[in-house]
Amino acid sequence: MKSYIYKILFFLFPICIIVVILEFLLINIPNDYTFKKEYLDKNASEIETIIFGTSHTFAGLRPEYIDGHTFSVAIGNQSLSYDYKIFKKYQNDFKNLKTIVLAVSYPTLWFRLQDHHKDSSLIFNYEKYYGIDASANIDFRLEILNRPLKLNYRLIFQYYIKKKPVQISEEFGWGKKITKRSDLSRSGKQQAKRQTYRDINSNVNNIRMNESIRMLNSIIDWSKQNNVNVVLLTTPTHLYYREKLNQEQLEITIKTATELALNNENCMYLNFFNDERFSDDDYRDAHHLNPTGAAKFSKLVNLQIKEFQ
Amino acid sequence: MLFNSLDFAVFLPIVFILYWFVVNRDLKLQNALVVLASYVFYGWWDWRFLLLIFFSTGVDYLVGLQLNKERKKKNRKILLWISVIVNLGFLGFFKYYNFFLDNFITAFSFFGMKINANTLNIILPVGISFYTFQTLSYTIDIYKKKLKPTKDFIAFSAFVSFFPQLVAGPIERTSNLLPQFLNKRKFDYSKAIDGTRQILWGLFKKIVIADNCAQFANEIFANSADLNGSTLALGVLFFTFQIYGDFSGYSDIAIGTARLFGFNLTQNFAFPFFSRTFPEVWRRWHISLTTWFRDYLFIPLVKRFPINKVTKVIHVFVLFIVIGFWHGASWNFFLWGVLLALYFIPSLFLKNKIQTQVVAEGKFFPTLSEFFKVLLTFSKGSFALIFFRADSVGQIFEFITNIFSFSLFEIPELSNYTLASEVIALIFVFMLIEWQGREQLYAIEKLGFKWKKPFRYLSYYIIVFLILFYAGQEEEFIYFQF
Repeated sequence: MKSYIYKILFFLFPICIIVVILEFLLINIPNDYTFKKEYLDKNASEIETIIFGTSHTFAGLRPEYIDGHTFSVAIGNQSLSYDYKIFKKYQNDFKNLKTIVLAVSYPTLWFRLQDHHKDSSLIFNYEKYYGIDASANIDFRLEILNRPLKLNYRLIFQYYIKKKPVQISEEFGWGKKITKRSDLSRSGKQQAKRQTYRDINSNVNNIRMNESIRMLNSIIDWSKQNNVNVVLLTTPTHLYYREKLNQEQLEITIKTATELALNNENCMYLNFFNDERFSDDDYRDAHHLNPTGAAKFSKLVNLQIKEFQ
Repeated sequence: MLFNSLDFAVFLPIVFILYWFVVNRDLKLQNALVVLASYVFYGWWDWRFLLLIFFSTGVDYLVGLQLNKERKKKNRKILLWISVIVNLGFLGFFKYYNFFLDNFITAFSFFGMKINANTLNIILPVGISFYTFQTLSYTIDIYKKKLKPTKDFIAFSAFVSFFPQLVAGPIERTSNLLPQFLNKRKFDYSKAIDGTRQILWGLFKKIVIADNCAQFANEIFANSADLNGSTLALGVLFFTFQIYGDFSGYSDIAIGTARLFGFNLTQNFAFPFFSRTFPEVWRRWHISLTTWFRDYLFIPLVKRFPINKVTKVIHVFVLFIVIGFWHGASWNFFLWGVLLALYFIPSLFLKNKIQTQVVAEGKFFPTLSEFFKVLLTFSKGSFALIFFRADSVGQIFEFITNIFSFSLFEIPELSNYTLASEVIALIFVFMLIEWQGREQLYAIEKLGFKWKKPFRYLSYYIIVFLILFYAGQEEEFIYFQF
C-alpha cells in the first residue's frame, strides 16, 4: 500500500509545484478589484460623486464626464448587496461626498451575488482583494480555481509576458470595454431571460426584494444625515431587450425607485430605460452602452445631477 | 459532494487513509467508516435527506429479516409490499407528486371541473432513484428466495449508502455488492492503480468532454427557436457527447473510487456509441439500470402474460415508458420512452443474431457495413436525445421542425467558433481513444502498456493537463437530478 501512496505522491508532486507557482503568479496580478480598493483607500475622502452598480454603470457611466471628483466602484455582476458592503466599509471616509449614484436595473432588487453558486469566484474577489467579508460559502479560496486554467494561462501571459494590464478600469473606475457590437436581438433575448426571476412574488423573492429596499433606505438615510444626494439610476436599454422582459418585474423595479425618490427629498430617480435618444450605434449589446453611448449618457446624467444640486 | 470538486479531493484521501491505516484490522469498523463517510458525502448536499436514507435502510433491513423467517405466502407478500410502498412512496412523493397533481388538475379542468390544489415546493433528494432501486432489489430477491438477508446492519447500511455509487449508480445488485461488505478486503496494489486510472479517465470525460460540450448544448437548446437547422443539429451532437461524458464519466469515477477501497462495481457503460443496432445500445448504455428493469419488470411481465406478438410489443412499450419516467416526471420523458420502444420493436421480429461482441473485434478498422450501421444507430440515439433534453413537448416539435428544414444546409450560428472547433477536435480525439480501447472495461485501461514507462506517464500527464486546463467552476452531473 505504501508503494501505491508513494507512486501517487511522486506522480502528483510536479503538478502541485506547478499549481503553487501559478497561484502565486495569479494572485499578484492587479485587477479591477485591487485597483478600486486601492483608489478608495487613498482617495475616499476626496471623492464628490461615487457611482455604484453592475456592468450597466461600470460600462455605461463615465466619471470623467461628471463634474467634480467622481469615481466609479461599479463592476460587472456587483449586486446591490456588495454595493452596500463597499459603502459600509468606506462610509466614514467619504468626507467630501456630495452625490451617490446607485444603479437600479431590471434585476437589481432580486439579484444577490451570494445566491449564485457559479459566481463564487466573484465573491472570492471581494473577500481577497476588497477585504470585504463575503459571508458566503466559498469552499477553498484559491485564485487558480476561479476560472479554467486556459484562462489563467491567458492572464499570466498577458500580464507577465506581454506586460499588458488585466484590469479594464480606467483612471476613475470606468470599465472601458471596446468590443464589436453583438447581435442585439439575440443578446437582448438571452439577457432578458437570464435576468428574469421566476415567480417574482414567491417568498424567497420577496425576502430578497425587501432586503434590497432596506439597503437602499439605509444608504439614503445616511446620505440625508450627511447632506449627500442619492441618484437612483436606470441605464438605457435596447428595444430588443425591453420587449422580452417580464412586465411585472419591471413595474415593481420602477415603482420602487420612484417611491424612494418621492419619499426622500435628497433622492432623485433618473429613468433612461426607454430613452429614445439612444440608437443602435450607442450599444455594445442590448443592455450595455458602448464607449460612445456611455459618453452621451454620462453628459445627460451630469446635467440632471447639476440641476438636482 | 461532487466528484469534480476540491471537497472530494480532500475527502477521498482522508477516508482512504483512515480505511486502510486506522480501521483496517476490524471489518465492522471498516464498514462503519464507509457508512460514516457515505453519510458525510451525501449530507454535504442536504443533511436532512440522510433521514430518508436511514429510514429506507432500516425498513429494508427489517423486512429482509422478517421475510426470511416468514413462511406464509400471504404474510411474505405483505412484507414485500411494505418495502415497495415505502421505497416507491418516497420516490413517488419527491419525484412525481407535482407532476401528477398538475396533470390531474389539467385533466379535470378540461371537463369543466375546477380543483383547488396547490403544488408543493418539493426538493428532489439527490440520487433517490438510484438507492431506492438498489434497496428494492434486496427485498425482492429475498422474497423470491434468491438471496439470504444479512443480519449485519452496519454492512447493510454500507451497501445502501456506499458513497462512490450512492447518488448516480451504478445501481448495484445485492448479490454483487453486499457479500463484499461481509468479507475482509485486502489492499490490492494493481487494483488501486487501475482504480486511479479509471478515476482519471472519468474526470477527463466529465471536465474535458461533457462540460465543454455543455456550454454549446445549453446555449443552443436555450435559443432553439431562433437558430438554423445546422446549429440545432450541432446542438444535438454536443448534447449527445455531454450526456455520455457526464454520466459514463461519473460511473468511471465511482467504479475507480470503489476499487481504491477494494470493491468491484458493475460496469455501467460499454462503449454504447459503437453499437450496430438499437438493442445493442441498450446492452451498453446505463447497463445497471437496463438490467434492473429487465430483471424486475420485463421478465416478470413476460412470465405473467403469455408471449405473443401483441404482448411482446406491449411489454416493450411498458418497459421503455417506465424507463422514460424513471428519468423524470414530464411528458418529454414519456415520449422519449415511446420513441425508444419504437426503435426497439423491429428487433423483436427480425431474426438477427444478438450481437454480444464489440464491433470489429480484434481489428482497428471496421468494415464499411459496420461503419454505416454504427453511424445510423448513433444518429438515431442522438435524435432521441432531443426528447430527453428539450424543456417541453412544444420545444421538441419546434426543434425537430427547425432541424429538418433547408436551414440544415446553412452555416451554423455559434457564439464562439474557435472554442467550438476546439471542442469538436477534443471529441474526435476522445472517440479515437474510446475506439482503440473498446474491448476493455474503460478506454485507457491498457493504454500505453506496451510503451516505455516515461511515455506512458507522459500520456497520463497530458490527461491531467487537459483536465486542469478546462477545469473551472464545478458543474453538477446531469444524472444527479434523477
